Amino acid sequence: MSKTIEKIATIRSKIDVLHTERAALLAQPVSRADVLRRVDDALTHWHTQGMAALSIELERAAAGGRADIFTLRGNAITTGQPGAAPFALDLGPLLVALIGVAPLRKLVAQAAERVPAGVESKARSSRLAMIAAELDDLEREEEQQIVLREIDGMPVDRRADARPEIVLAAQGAA
Amino acid sequence: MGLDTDKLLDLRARHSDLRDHYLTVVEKAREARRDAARMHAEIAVDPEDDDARDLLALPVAELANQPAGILEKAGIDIRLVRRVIAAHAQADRIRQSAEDLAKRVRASQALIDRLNQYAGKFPEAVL
Repeated sequence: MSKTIEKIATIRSKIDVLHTERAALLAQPVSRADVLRRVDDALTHWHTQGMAALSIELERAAAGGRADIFTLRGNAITTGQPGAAPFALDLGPLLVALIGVAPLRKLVAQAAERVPAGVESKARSSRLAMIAAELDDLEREEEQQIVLREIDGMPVDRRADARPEIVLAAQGAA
Repeated sequence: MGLDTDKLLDLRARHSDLRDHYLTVVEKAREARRDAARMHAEIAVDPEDDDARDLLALPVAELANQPAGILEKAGIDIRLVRRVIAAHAQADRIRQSAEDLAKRVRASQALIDRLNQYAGKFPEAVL
């Protein structure tokens, strides 16, 4: 295999690796750690709401009224076909107030082990930008090598996914 | 960022040449297959000889595995059988070339389509 062909093959191998890495980063925009941070925020919010609702019920009981501490109040969102009315109830505040943040957080964290770790957003954005820059360099180099082969009368097929802006860059603009 | 229109025209021409070459090879593959089939059909045997007719009706790959003694006993000229096997092998090689070219043409077409779509964004590229 000629040196140019080897060079092109090496460049293409590096391009493949970067494409694979980029696809993985794009497929998971939120890292496991970020997901758990969002869950923490929700648990804190529900805990506040749940404790407030419990306090109201207990104060009502102290004033001689009923203590409906296990009654869910709010709006039910109805969906579905006529004749059936499945609905969603927000159990978050009541559950968190009764069970506590820590046990629920532990359960969620255990389930989250199945979520790939992913890359946190700042590092992810930075890495995507680096991949884009590396791909620009590699693809320009690949195109230069291909053009040299064509000048020598030994053409090499371009990749079907070669970028037009690289392949057709005006002379001196690449 | 400008557009190298000469390069686009050159790449279109290369794609066209590749496609034409592929079509030529496809036709050659057909001819080779026809020639091999004709050679096979032209091997003469006694029409009353069932064994000979059964042997000649075998697929080429099985016919190639028959011992020379079996063919001779059936009155089949082994040199003709060897020529038929060689003709089929040649037809297979040309067919494989056509299949390889088909992959290259598909990839080339995909690239040309994307290059043309990209070039369409440049109003000065009236091609």
